[in-house]
Amino acid sequence: MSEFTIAQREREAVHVLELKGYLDAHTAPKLEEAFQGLLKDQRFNIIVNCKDLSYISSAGLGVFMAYIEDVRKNNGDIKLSNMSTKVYNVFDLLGFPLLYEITPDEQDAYNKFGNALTRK
Amino acid sequence: MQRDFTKAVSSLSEIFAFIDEHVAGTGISPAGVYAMYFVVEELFTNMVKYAAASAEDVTIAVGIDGSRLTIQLTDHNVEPFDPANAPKVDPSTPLQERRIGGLGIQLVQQMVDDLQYSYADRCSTITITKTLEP
Repeated sequence: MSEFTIAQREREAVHVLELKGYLDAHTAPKLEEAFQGLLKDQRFNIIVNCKDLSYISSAGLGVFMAYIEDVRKNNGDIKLSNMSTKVYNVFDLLGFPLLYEITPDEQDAYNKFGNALTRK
Repeated sequence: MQRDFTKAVSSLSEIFAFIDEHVAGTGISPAGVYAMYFVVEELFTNMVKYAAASAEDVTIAVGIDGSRLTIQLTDHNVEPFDPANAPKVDPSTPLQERRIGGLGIQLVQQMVDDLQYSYADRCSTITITKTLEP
């Protein structure tokens, strides 16, 4: 039941991670690996689509915190989209909406990269 | 209703299933179930991280008393570690100054109605209580 998968795709200069299932202390290393791969490939414009994310624990939140600074230092960003209310509530309890752009759908997140994309 | 779980993060899916099994039909909301997953995961992974020297299983017990759900985690043959005394983190703290561990416990304290810690006979026991919402 606590399966967790990540699908990856490109939208021009933006890389999209689609999370599915349960992001817990056991599965969080998969997300870390995904971010490490993106940084290694110098892909710093990242959208994390949470449409099928059923659950996130503090271990999962920690992964986002671990990589956001490196991504922003490279003029990129991690934007989050399509969160269910229960997942959003956990981000909200910690004040994450002040630190991350969280949009209702992926297209909004994509549009917010705006200027960054035209610089490419 | 209680069960022993291997002290490793790979036990989490079994623990979630155990919680599901025992809270189903209690009228707990989906948000309440989510909160219980989150809280139990946080407390359990603390035991995995900070009491790894003891390889004994962690016992998790779930009880329902009227509209109150109680979950108890017991870590056997360990030194005392009270998660409720973990330092709190201010969400306005700059990212680089934050400590992940403290954030989890802070959320736990917001998600439950009561959290009690006891230590006896080299066993750490954490008891959380949550009022079930209609």
